Amino acid sequence: MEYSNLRRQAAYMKKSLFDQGYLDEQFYQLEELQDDVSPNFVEEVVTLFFRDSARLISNIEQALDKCPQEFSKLNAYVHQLKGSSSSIGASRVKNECTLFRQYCDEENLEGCLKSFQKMKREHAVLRQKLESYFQLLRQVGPAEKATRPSM
Amino acid sequence: MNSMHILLHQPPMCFYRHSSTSILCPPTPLARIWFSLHHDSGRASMGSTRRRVLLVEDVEINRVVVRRLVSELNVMLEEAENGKIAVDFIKQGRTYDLIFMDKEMPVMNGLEATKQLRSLGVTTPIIALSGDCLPCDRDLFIHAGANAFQAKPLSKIELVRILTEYGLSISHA
Repeated sequence: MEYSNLRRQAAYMKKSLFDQGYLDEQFYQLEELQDDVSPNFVEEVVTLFFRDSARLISNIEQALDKCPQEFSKLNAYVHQLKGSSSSIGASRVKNECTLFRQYCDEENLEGCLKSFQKMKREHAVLRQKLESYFQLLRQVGPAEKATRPSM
Repeated sequence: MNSMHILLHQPPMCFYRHSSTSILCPPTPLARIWFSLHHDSGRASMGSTRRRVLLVEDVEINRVVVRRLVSELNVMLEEAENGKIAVDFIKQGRTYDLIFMDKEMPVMNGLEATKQLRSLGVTTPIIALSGDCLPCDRDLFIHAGANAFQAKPLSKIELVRILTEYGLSISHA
């Protein structure tokens, strides 16, 4: 009974992440790569993402603080963040990166600063939600094959 | 048992070290032919069905995902973190059956790397990868010598389609 409740909770949590736009189809692609040989593949990739993205966000913050007019440098950092966000299906973070890069192209510092604050918020919220989700999955037990919710 | 069977299946009995190359070489002419067929450095040999693919991509997570994607396929994947490393690989004599080339990378971007590879005479199919997929980017890459342009992230279905289209065996490992 408890086990099936946990499974339901995990499924609901995942569905919310998709319904609220935090995750996109790419997350399902990652789940489909998970199997008995790589049972924790998704969590491992997501962990790697948050490790790298935290570093990139720190670099962007320092660059905005010390040399805010170096838009090409900012653009390079955000390019990496966008690429890795895209690879795990972190849709909101990815979209904010796209917007940030547009502001860089326009050399719009105010836009970059506003966009960066939103990017940090989206990143932090996603991190907290995915940490909760994986914590619940660990309680549920061995990973199941990816299942897309029925429309 | 015919001579071809013997040729392909006879194991080398013992090796000596070649004085100029330090490569271990089999002693008999037949064993040397067998060795050459199965260990021709940098090339897919007659006895091997594994194709060699080079992924040129700076973002580690993207490489991790593609690595996982190809792990189930009969493909040997090598990775380069930027275009310059890819060009250096080619200059070192490495050969590939297919190259996936990211667009934006530090040190040397995908466009420049593609131009340099073509100027070196590399005819390997090059598939440009980009998260943006703007028509102007696509045109630039094709003009530089890429064979096709593909949106990132690469899905398994798209990977299998590309490998099949360019004649790479995709039987499962």
